[in-house]
Amino acid sequence: MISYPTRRGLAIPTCEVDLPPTHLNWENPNHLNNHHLEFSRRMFSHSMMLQTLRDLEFMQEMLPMDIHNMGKHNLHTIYGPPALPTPRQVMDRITDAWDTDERLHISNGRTYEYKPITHALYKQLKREYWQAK
Amino acid sequence: MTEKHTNDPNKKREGPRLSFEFEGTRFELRPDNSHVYLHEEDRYDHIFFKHEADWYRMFRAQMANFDSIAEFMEINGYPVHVQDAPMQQDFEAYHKAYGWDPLPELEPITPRREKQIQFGMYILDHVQSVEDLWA
Repeated sequence: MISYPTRRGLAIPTCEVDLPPTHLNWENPNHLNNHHLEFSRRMFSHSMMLQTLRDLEFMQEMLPMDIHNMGKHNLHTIYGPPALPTPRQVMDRITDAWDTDERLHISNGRTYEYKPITHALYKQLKREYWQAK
Repeated sequence: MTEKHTNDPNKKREGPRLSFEFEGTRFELRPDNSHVYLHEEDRYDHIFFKHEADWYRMFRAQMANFDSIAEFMEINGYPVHVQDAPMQQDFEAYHKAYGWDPLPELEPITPRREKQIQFGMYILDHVQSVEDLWA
């Protein structure tokens, strides 16, 4: 299994990688589910910076289930987790998100909800970045 | 339909609130009576809230989970003020509660340095403008 490709430390969008064709309907929301470009969950839960990067709105995509995680030949069986980005790369991405008012897309049990990146959170992330550096 | 699920527009919707108890008194933090102040220097971060007629400050050092509370308050529409440095009253309130920083240690004054200081004092006392230097 090869690791998921990255660009400047961050996982690239799924449209840029080779995936099998889907047999499901893209227009039916019941056939899609949420994919985090930065996987796996366990790898990205070690620090608040990594978790925030994973939760960013544009670091997630809706994919047909058969391409994403159902069946034998899907994204998670073809590709292993991407390499972890450096603290600088993570903080640069988060700062971009902060500057452009990008939101966090967070699972709330069964559904997802959007939350803003608050001043308090951004301050914590900066503190963690300086400690990691 | 229970009261919880009524959608009556005349009924005033209760906003988010936080509360805590201190020495038998219950303090309630609502968006209309509390503000969050965040500063460049973490130790001055505080929540400024009103109880009855008085305003109180609760600094970061008094709460283990200040960041989570501040985040909750920001998401739920409490006023948040982000400042580079604390205001004079906040600065004094913090240092009255937690003590003033010790003064930096100065190097001992040598005889040579003493002469330089005397010369500087003389200049300050006798020279009013640049022209006086040439008089």
